[in-house]
Amino acid sequence: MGKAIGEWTGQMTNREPTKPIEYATLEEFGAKLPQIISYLRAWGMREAVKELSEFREGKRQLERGQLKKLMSTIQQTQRLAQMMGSYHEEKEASSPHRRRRRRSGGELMLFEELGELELGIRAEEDEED
Amino acid sequence: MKKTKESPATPSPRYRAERSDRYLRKELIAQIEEELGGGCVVTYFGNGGFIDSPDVGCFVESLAWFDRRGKELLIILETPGGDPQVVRNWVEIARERFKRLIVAVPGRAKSAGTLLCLAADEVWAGPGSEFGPIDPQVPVPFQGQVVRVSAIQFLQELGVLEPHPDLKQIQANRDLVALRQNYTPPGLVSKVMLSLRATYDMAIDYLYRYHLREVQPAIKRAAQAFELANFLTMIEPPQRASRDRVYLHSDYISPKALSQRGMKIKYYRFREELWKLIYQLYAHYQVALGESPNCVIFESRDLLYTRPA
Repeated sequence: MGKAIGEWTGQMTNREPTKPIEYATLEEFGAKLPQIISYLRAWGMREAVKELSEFREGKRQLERGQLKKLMSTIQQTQRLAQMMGSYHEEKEASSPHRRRRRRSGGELMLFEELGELELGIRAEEDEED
Repeated sequence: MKKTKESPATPSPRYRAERSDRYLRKELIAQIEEELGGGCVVTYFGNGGFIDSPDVGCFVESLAWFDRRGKELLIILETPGGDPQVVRNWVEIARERFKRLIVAVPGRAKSAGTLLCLAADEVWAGPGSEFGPIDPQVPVPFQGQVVRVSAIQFLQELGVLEPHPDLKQIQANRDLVALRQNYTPPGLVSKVMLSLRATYDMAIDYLYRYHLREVQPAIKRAAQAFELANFLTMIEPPQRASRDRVYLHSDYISPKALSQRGMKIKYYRFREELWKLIYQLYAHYQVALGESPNCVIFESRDLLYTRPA
């Protein structure tokens, strides 16, 4: 039978961990959690939402690296949404039929909302910097 | 009433001789099914054949006789791509009837073919297997004709998405700006955006719900799903030249590149028994279609369906 390709990178993936697992703390991630949870809920990722909710309530531990990675991939996704959202905002601002278009663009509102969400996360990061 | 004699269950020698290729392939499929303990269907799209709406019916019929063949389905797939909405339909049908879905890719599973792989529990690959980006190709009117362009590149050229660094110079070109303004009729940008969004949504959904469902904890699964979808739709902004980076819809993505991003790919060596059977079957289609590559074939143990591309 065939082997999993994971074996190709076996030396990287299967080696003994050299340092203990670093767990995420509420001090670091607490403020961002509501946004991440609402974003994952919009994608229908129930188990992930449950894990984050339990983490927020102190009932569960999560690895810091995994949570950081989740946030960075979400930000990348939201970057697209923001770019699309801002394009439509520009178009709308220059359009004489602004109100009518905004009302009819139900789907596009989604991009705008996601764009706003991303701005929220970014603004927080800026504060940290 | 006098009973009529039933026709023999086995075909006559002449009938069998005339269809020897089909009988040989049928035996290979039966052997693969025996090894697997489940059902096997081949969907082979020649060079000019793209996954299209007539293929929903073919797929349904291919599975119609599978009731007694376990809970596992193996799709041996060869395709240059096609309509993602048809793939969506296939996935719903297959997932409703089978607990476990495996996609084997002896050759190419580009574009919509790669999208189908994301809905599988496992992907089988070997030497020569090829995957590709899943950004949708959207028909765009241009100078009285309709040309198909990559949604992501269309949006980059229009300035909606951040362009590839190499394209920034081209964007400053005045002629191109004028050209861009000419080929954006009302509604087109929204249509292109939503096509991209729909494919992206499908990729995330399939990865999270099916392909990565055993990855724990779920936040790790979610991160992997986003990362893979960003990579395959080319939303991930290109940062530096890399062997695995993809820039174009036609770019080659290796099984290893997908595996390193968390996909469950079982890699077979060329001489392994099961892969030999799969590749033997694949070679039969390649030879059979040698003279008419613009053809689509659906084949299982019970059914053979072909259509011109």
